[in-house]
Order: sequence, then structure tokens, then C-alpha cells
Amino acid sequence: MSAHIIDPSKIQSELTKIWEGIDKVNKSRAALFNLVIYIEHNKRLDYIRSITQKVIEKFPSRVIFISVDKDAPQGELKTAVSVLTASSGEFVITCDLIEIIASKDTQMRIPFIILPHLIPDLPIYLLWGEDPSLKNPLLEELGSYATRLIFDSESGSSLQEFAKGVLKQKEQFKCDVADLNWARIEPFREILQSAFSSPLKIEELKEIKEMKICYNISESAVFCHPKVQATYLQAWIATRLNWTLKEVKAEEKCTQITYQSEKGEVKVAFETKEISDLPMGMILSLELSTNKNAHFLFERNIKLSNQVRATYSTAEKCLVPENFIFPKGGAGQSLIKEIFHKGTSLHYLKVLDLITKVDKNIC
Amino acid sequence: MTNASFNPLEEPGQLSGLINPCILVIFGATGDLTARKLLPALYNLSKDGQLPSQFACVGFARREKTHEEFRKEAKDSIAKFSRTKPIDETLWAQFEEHLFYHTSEFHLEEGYNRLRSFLNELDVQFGTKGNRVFYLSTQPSFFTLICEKLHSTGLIYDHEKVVDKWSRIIIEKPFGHDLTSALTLQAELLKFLNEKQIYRIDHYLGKETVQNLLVFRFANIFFESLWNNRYIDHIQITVAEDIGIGTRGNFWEEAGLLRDIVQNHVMQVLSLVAMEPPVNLDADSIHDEKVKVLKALRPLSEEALKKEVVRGQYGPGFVNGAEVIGYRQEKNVSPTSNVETFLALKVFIDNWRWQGVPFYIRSGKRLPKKATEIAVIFKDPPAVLFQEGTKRNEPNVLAIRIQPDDGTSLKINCKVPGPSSSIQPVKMDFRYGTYFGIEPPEAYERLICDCILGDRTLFAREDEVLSSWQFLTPILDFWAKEPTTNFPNHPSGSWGPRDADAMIEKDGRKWRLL
Repeated sequence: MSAHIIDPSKIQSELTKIWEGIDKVNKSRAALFNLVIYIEHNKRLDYIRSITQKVIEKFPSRVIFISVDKDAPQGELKTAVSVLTASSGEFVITCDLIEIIASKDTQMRIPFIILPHLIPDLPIYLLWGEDPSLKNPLLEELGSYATRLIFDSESGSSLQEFAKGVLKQKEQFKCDVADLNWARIEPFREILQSAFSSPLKIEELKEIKEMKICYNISESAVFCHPKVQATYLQAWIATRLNWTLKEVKAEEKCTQITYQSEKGEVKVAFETKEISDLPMGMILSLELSTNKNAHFLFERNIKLSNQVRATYSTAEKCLVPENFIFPKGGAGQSLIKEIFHKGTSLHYLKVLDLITKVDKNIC
Repeated sequence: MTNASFNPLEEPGQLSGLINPCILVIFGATGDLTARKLLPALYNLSKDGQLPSQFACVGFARREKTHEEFRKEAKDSIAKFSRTKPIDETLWAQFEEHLFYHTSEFHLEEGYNRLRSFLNELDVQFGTKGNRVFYLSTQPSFFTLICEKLHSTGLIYDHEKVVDKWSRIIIEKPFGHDLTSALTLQAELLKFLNEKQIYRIDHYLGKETVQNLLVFRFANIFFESLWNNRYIDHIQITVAEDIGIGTRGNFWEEAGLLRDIVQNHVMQVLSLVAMEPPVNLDADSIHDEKVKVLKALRPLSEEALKKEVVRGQYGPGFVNGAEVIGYRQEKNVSPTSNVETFLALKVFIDNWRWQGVPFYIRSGKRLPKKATEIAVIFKDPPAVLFQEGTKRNEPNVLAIRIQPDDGTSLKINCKVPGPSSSIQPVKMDFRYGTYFGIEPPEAYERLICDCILGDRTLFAREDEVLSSWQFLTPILDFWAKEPTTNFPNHPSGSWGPRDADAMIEKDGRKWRLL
């Protein structure tokens, strides 16, 4: 916490003081929504801070950043306020940041601190940076106010438990849920949707017998579940094509999933590569082979990672490769996407539902 | 859903859609619009990662030029006119490889045959799959000729029969110069094209605030419930520019303000303000409702043409403190020209919602400032309370600013603090620029994207254009019959001729001071 520490009762008056004290020429204070972030003190704290900054640069909001420090002395509860600069240039847009650091034993005081400072009539997006499957009374409390609950499957220890946790929260709070890792595979979902948009290609899709997904296992200080995105992608395809799960073989270095489609068995295999320049977990390629010997390969350009080259071949022909390009991402982009999607993705809920049925921890 | 073409991977509202591979051919590639708007729009689309790499742009024009020369000129234009500066050299190095130039006269079939071969080569090089957008950024007199040649050389595909690739035409305004010529042009184009292949661009429709009109009206219950003749006294639409006609003297002598601004931009804005809610957001559903408004416009009687349509022309004067010349002194303008550079008119929409509500429209060049605004002036509340003698409170005004300073403000009455019961109007203000941290894309970026995606929502449909001409052509006919004798009738830097003030003041109303 870099800002000046204040008494929780002074949050509003300190914000007013700061705002009155700054030069307001060409400066505007804006808030499109309330963004409440919860994270425990760990190595992901700085990462979450950095993506928060990215979000407010595009969508200024009132940020309430809660971090719980298990190692803090008993009874510790610190609050601070400051102003974030959302954009520079001719007009500077600023927004409020309220920071709260609490020890485990004081965390239940947090809702009482933040409730008066949620801006009425604006949506409340709660980014819960911890595993939703772990019981946390603070989530119970804050979740009841949230318009949208945003999780990150990176934070779960088991993807199956994470999926159960998200579905439970969705049921409990009746609000929209989202997941940063689901947003991270959006480009591949876009590409597949576009590549298989014609009736002919949709028919070929139904003939898939093998799928290979390659993902990045580069070292990362903040990510530790590189397989989540690949697992989501294959589960998405499986649920969209109504495949039923037959078997999961999860071995140390090799996981294979077998589904039953209406045309026969489908084998899904995972491969890894280590590309240090790209984020851990990023999908590098997807290969699909069909019963009719058609072969589709979607391969990410390692140097221009927002481009994916698609090749299609059969025993008789090989088409000119197609290059798909999508808006450049970067840290924070997934959170921005998840904040502004309308409702909860039904595809995502089905993916979670499938993952809860996997009887082994594939991820 | 059992439809054979149902895409199981699709989830409406969740994915944003990728732009299809295609080649964009710009006719009139050496013109002002290409330099100022089209090339910067393509560059920024590329910068935002919105153009596929299976994309190429071919400039088509009469002047001899190499690809390299075209690229160099394009770079200069982008550096000067792009909304993002400076040019990103790494991106440019990639972008310029997709830019090409093709020299030909518009009337020579041989030039189109060479173009077809060249585009086929580019299809192989870039994987553009035979998809084509032809952007006609030329004088309107070339529209039919170019379409005819594109058709005869097989560059336009049969919309009904060819399903694995597509060809589309973007046409710049003006679409005709009156009703007869618009009908003729449409009939000519339909010889070579299907209506679904024609994209009539009106860059106003690509502006965020104009698009926001539908959201504003139909996603907010309280505005829509007041949006009728029971609560609205009148509506003012202003499209004002502080600049003169610049180097476009030849064009203006032919066109004038009614054709250049009112027939398209103003009528589009009017129809969006007044339309009924569409049954859904499909392009045709929206167009259907807009056309209903244009068809409900009360035809202007001879009396109305005399008293409720005011034409003007700017004379010398001062704009923003600088001395400027009058229209008749501009380059390529006749010193006795009677072309209008200002227009004010009062129109009525004869339907259930708007019966009796006047829409006052004013537009002009060399006015005091650049401002496009829709102002909804509400009726007074019953005069029982908070009234001193005959003095009325200020009416509530909802002002939607399209440019500059895009946003919305609402003027409401408020009690002045203290023991007195004085009432003071105050303004609640929303500004796009100070609320969102996102720089909105240029209108042309959005519209080019939409054309490539095959979305015609933000383009004018044939019957919209024709209905607009049907309403406005009698004004042109009247002016031809009764030429004005008092031009120039207002100095540059003023809000138009006194007759425009008199026109609204006789109704007990005033133009808003913007």
C-alpha cells in the first residue's frame, strides 16, 4: 500500500480532500462501475494490481482493492485512498482507489467498511482472485451485492473443484459469473466459430476423431496451471458437439480424454511446448482429424501471437492457408472482456458442467 | 435447433466476430476522401488488429503511379490525417505490403480486365478468397459507368448464384441530385447489382453518438415514455460548420447545402430521432422504421416553401476572430452564385407520435462554431406552481451533442439555496470524452468493417434515400422557380440570415444558442 493510511471512517472525507486538492483543469473524475477486487497476499497480488490499472485505463471505475494478509498481526486493518489516473492527454480522467489490507481475523469487518462506498446505481463487479470452492464468509457477504462475479481458474487448486465452486456461486447469488481463463481462449473460439461457419464445414466438424491441443508451459511468476485453457477449449468443442465423456487417462506427462460422438470415438491429446515469450497456458495449436481424412491445423504465430494460421487438407487437396488475426490482447484484456460481456456465457456453464463430471483431476 | 446451417460453436452476444478476408478496391484513390479518411481508417483498423492479414487494398485511379508511389503518398496522408499519431513504423512496414495501385481510365474495359487478373493474383498471394469491396469515392457521374464495367468484366458476382464469395459496392453521397436522378441512378445500378450488394455510406451513421441514439431512446424507459407530442414541445436539429467550402467550389456550385448535408446527414438523424422502436435490431427492421418516418413527413405546401424554408449564403465576415471571405469570393465559385450554404426549415411528421410537434432544422457553413446537436425541448409543466406572474420557468431541454464534445445534457429546474423560492435552470451533463477512457474509432473505420462483415444497418437503404428526396425535391423545384435575389444574406460567423430567426420566432420559440 503506497498511499497514506487513514482511519476507515475517513475514506469519504479523504477522497473529497484529495479531489479538492488536485488541479482540476481538464481533469475529470469518472466511474462507470464499482470494481471490487479481493485477493490474498501472494505472488499474484502485483499481477492483479497491474490488470486493474489496465481496466481503469479503458473504463474508469471506483476501485476497491481488498487484500487479506494471513501473516499480518492479529487485528490489523489498514485503509488508504488515492486517485488513479485512467487516461492522460488533453483530458485526464481519474478515478478513486480505496485500498484495504486486513488480517484474516479482521476480514469480516471489510463489508462494513466498503458498503457505504459502493457508488449507488452502478454495477458492482467483484473480481474474486481466490479459489471459489474454498469456503470464505467474505465471498458469501460480498457476492450478495455483486452484479457479476469474476473468477480466475488460475486461482483454483483443482479445476474440477473450481468448476463446482463457480456453479455453486452462480446458483447461490443468481448473478452473472465469468472466468478470466475462459476469456483468454476467446480468440480460438472466435476462429473456430468462423472457420466452421459453412454448412459443409459444420458437417466435417461432426466427423472429428482426433484432437491435439498444444499449449505453452513457459515459466511464470503468476501462473501455475498451464493446462486450464487447453482443457477449456477441448471441453467447449466437446459440449458444443454433444460428445459424451467416456474415459480420462491422466498420467504425469500425458493426459488423454476419450469422448463418444454420434460418429464414433474421439480421442483428445494434450501436448506442450515451452515458448518463453508467450504467457504460460496460451494455446499454441489445435489439430483436428476427421473420419474422412480431413485435417485441420490452427497454429499460432509465435512472433505475432495475435495471428493464427489455419490449414486444411484432405487426401486429395490442400487449401491455401488462411490467416486469422484478432485484436491484440495483453494483461488485463481478459478482465475487460469479461466485465463487458452481457449475461453469463451458456457455453461456459456447459463447459464447467462437463469438467465437474471428470472423475480425475486432469488439471 | 435442427437447421442444417446451425453453427454449434456460435454463441450470440458472446463473441465479436472476425472480419472476412477480402480485397478493397478504392475508385478515386488519388482523391481527398481517400487521403483524409479511407487510408487512415484502414491503417487504424490494422493497428487495432481488426483487419485480417488476408486483406489487400488496391487504389484505382486515372493518374499513372507505381505501387511504391501510392504507398509513399498513403504514408504521408496517414501521418497527416490519422487519429493515431505518430505512424508506427513496424506496423507500417507490414501494412504497406497490402497496398497496391492500379492505373486505368474509368471507361476503359481493358483496365477492368487487368484489374480482375491482378485481383486474382492477390487472392493467391493473400488468401482473400475472391471477396471484393469496391469503394466508389468518385464523382457521382461515374457511379453507373464503374458498376457497368465491373459487371461486364465479371468483377461483380451474381448475388443469388455465387455463394462461396461476395462482392459489394460502397457508394459515397450524393445519391442523385433530386428525386428523378436518384430514381434513375437506382434503376441503373440495379441492372448490374442486387440491392443487397449496395452500401450507401453516410459517415454520420458511423459516429458513436448517432449509433447511441437508438440505445439512448430504447434502452432507457424514461426518455422513451416522454418521447411524443404529449410532452415534447418541439425539436431542433442543428448541423453547423465554422469552415467554408474550401477547395470544393466546383462541387458546391453543383450541389449546395441541401444536397450535401440535409438530404443525407440531417434526414438520417431526423429519422433516428423520430422512428418507432424496431421489432429487432436487424438492419431491415431498423431501416423499415426509418423509412416510415420519412414517408410521414408532411409535404411542404407552397405557403410553407415560402415561409418555413429559409435559404442563406454566407458573405464575408469573421469566424473565431479571423476575417474570412464570402461564398462568392471562394475559388471556383461564380461571383453571382445563388447556391445556398445555409438552410433552415420547419417540418412536421404526420403520425400518431409526432402530430403537431415541429422539427426545426438548421444547417450551414461558416456559422460561429462547429456543432451538431439534437435538442428536445419539452413542454412546460402545468403553470400552477413556481411561477411569478407571467414569467415561465425555462423548459426542460435534452441536448444530444453529436460533435464535437459528444454527449448528452439535460436542463432541469432547481431551487436556488436560501430562503427565497427562486428557481434556476441547471444542467446534468454526460460527456463521452470524460467518461470513457476509450478513443472512439473514426466513423469510416466502423463503416468499412461493417461492409466487410455484410452488415447494412449503418448504411442507407434505397427507399430511405428516395423518400428523403421525395420530401426535399419540391424545395429545389421551388428555388429553381423563384431564384433568390438577396444573397449573400448573412455574414460569416453569424447564425444565419434574420429570416431564419423570424421563422422560428413567429411560433413563439427561439433557436438555441450553441
